[in-house]
Amino acid sequence: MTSTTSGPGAEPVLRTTSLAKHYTLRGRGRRRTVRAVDDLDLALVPGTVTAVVGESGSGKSTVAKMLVRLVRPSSGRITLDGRDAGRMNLRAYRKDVQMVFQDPFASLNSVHTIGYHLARPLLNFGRARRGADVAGKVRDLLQRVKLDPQFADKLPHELSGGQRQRAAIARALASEPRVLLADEPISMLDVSIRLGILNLLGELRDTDGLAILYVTHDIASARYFADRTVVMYAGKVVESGTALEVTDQPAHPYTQLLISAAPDPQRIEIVDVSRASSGAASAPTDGCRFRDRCPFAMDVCRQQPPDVAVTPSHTAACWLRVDESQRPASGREAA
Amino acid sequence: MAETSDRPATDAVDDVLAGDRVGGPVPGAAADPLVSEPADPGRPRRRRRTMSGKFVAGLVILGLFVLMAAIGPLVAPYDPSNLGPDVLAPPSWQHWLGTTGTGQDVLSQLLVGARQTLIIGVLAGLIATAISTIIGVTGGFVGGIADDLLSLLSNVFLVVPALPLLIVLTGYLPNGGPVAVAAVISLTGWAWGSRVLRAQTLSIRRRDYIEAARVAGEPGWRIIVFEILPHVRAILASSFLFTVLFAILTQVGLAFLGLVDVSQWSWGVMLYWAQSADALNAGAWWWFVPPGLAVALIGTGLALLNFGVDEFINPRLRSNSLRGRAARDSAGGFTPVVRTDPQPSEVQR
Amino acid sequence: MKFLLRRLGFTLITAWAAISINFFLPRLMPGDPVQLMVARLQQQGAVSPNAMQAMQVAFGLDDHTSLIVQYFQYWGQLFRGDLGRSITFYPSSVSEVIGQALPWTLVLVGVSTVISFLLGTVLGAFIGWRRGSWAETILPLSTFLSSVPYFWMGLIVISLFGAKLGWFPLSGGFDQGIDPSWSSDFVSNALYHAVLPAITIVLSSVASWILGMRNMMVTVMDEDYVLVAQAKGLSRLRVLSAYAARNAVLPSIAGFALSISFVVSGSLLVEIVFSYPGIGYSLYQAVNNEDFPLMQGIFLIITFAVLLANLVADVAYVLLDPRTRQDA
Repeated sequence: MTSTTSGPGAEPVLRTTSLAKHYTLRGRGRRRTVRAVDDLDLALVPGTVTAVVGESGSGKSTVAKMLVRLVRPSSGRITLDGRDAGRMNLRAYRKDVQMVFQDPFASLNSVHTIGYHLARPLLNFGRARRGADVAGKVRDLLQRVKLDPQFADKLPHELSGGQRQRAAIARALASEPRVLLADEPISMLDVSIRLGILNLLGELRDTDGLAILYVTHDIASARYFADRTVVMYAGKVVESGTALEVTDQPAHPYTQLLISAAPDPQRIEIVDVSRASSGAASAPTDGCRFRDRCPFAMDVCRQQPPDVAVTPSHTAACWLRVDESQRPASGREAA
Repeated sequence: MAETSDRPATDAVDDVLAGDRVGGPVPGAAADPLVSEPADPGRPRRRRRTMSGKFVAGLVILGLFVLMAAIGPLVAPYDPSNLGPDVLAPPSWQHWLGTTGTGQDVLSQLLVGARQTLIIGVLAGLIATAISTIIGVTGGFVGGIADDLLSLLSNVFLVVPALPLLIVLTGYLPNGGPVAVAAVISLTGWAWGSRVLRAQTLSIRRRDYIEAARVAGEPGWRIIVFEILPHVRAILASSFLFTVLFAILTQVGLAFLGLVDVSQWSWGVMLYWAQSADALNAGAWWWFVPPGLAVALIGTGLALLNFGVDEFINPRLRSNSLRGRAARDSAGGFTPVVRTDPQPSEVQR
Repeated sequence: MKFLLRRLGFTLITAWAAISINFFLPRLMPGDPVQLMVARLQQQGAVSPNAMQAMQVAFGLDDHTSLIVQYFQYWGQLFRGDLGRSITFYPSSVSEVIGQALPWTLVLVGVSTVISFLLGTVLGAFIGWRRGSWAETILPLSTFLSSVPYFWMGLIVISLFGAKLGWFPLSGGFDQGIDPSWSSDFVSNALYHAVLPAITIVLSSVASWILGMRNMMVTVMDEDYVLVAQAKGLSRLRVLSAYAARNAVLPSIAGFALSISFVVSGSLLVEIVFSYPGIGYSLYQAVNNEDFPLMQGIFLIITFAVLLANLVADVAYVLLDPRTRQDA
């Protein structure tokens, strides 16, 4: 199905413009605004995988939930084929935009069979009619995620974690979506079966031309699997580019930290940078949010750094990339 | 006003009632990436554990009473309303449970009255549980202003004393049949279940499988009926049993006051006649003891069944589960390191 | 403070709801009973036009004024303490009847409920603490007791301790020969009469406190902070009282709100069995005489009393739970 409408360089199907989500916390009488996501511009292109990388608390899961419209954005726009998502019928929207949840042990209802989980979206999105048609389509879906059709009659607890996640992917495919949002789809799984799930998603990208958003804390798996990588810190994008550029020539100190925490980028394993230092939750809300943890922090970092092009396809939001003469004197507004 | 409906104090109860145990894996177990196959709520195993002694005892007691309600009128030796020559006779071979002040057979009244008593109790339980499900689960699921108003409503009904309200209500209403009585009782008995169901719904409405169902295009009513309700079924059962008990006790009280049709035999009506004929001062214990005892026994059966359900929801309540630890405690002081599993031999003790 | 204010708000809303129910009930119900009652009232003797007018306002027989005007008239009467005339005790007003009966009920039900709560909580804490020991044999008995209708328990208690053993009087609040006063003779006589009803209420209600507290105790005993307290080598009594029971009792106090209306309902029936001169017995007489003004007045007063008891429980909760104080 690979055609001119998919693959890198094609028109994006889903796009966000200055997307933001702010939460107000009310604790001990004091109000505090948490900027889970700020000023996010994202474009998901058919036939490509876009990875959103960040540690826990970076707002990356909120991005996925906003894109599937489980969480209402505070501001900004989501457009599907240029149409404003906020004005679209929810079911029509989700027919095109589907999501795979992080925890396959929690995302399947323990009282329903796998077949039920697959039949419901088939019926809801008008992809099958009641009766034998549904059973056949359920079988097709299971085959596409390489599960035996017999699994249709099983309950979730009879499946292993990897099998459950395949079932969850099958459910997301039922509506024949064009965008698949995968929220840390392998982080809950046994290390030995993670690669199988990623390869399955990769196949779906290639055969169906799916635009996949891959949310992860594991930058090594993003290098393996993604076409483009977006690195988020405390709700803001700090670096974006092709997956190879970002991981092999990281331009932002935070990305460099993430990569240094991964001992071998060729291997897929858990990289839990959040344990190395906890910063994102208490990060400053103005200027560069990484400056408290940054080894190169300067006075100018109190102001919001611009997105600097490292290469035409690679940008980083860091004052280090700005020529010293171009930086504003500290205390003055950035140009 | 929205805030006033919230009640941290009772929420503490809800936290316990709505403990995270009704379904879904233990979060800790699933979060561990090394455990690829965490112990899931293995349903067959759970079902076996539910069959505790209490549960079985409750089932047996209730089974007997249901049987009594079913065949009671058929096997009753006398017409319960028939006036006999033996007045206020103590138990004898002719009248196993003696006779009333007008010579009616107490045993026959007891057997015939079981049906009316049970029908009203179960009917009221069903209506009240339906109301509490609709109000509690919907409120918890929908959230926002609607939830605030609905939980305010159930809190109001929770504190307004039921019996005086029922007395006023039935005082105005003409004496109706069992359905009318059940309906009026359920009007005052739904609030408790509604609170508990709401708390449980609140705790699961943000679970992944609910959100996944939304993403799969499921409409709200289907999420409530097919995704949430199966996970609150234990609470639903517990709330139903509790309400049946409440309904039986309440109808007996209303009948005792003569606020129902006293020509229709039920246990409460028996007590009404016993009271108005001053059975107490006549020393006719056989007249007022059996119906009250029957009510207490049926209540015990319901409560035992409810304990079975409660222990299913919160396994820690089981009385014999930690015998080993209790034995250690009484053996002499606390051992600082107690987090080892009791040895089989200790459990046997 | 904020918590208490919210609770006060809830109390006011509930009180308003109860008053409104009282206002609308006779207007929504089929009219016959009230018509009948007024007719009977007129037969009973000369009813002053004023009293008649008040009754018409209270029961919506006045077709000339609109519902809203009636509603405000009703509130006006309430604030003057005017609940109408009782039919049973004509020409006494409902307020007078309630005023005479209320103290009896408040003392009897109040004291028995507090005793029952304390006794049940202590027993429940002990049983929960000694999980798996002989103490648990009390649980099946509690289960049985909690299912017994209060008034039937009263019948049993009377026939056992009153009729059979003759230890206590069978009925009434005091002996007919003694005039109600604050003399020691009268007070001791009244206390003597109150023993059996009090025992009945305690016996009937204590079981649910035992079971509730035991369940909370069992849950709390598994918490880590209790384990830590044990590991620190604190005395058992201290672990039981300061760590386990203190946390377990919070839901029990919260549960007080859920149970108090049930306890009060049951206690009213106990009064009837004992012909005790309290609100419950007045209610019984009102029911027998289709005395709607008295019935409704009693419903209001009981609701207010329950709401007040709830507020007291809230204050106790705030005193025991530091978390609610922190929010203030």
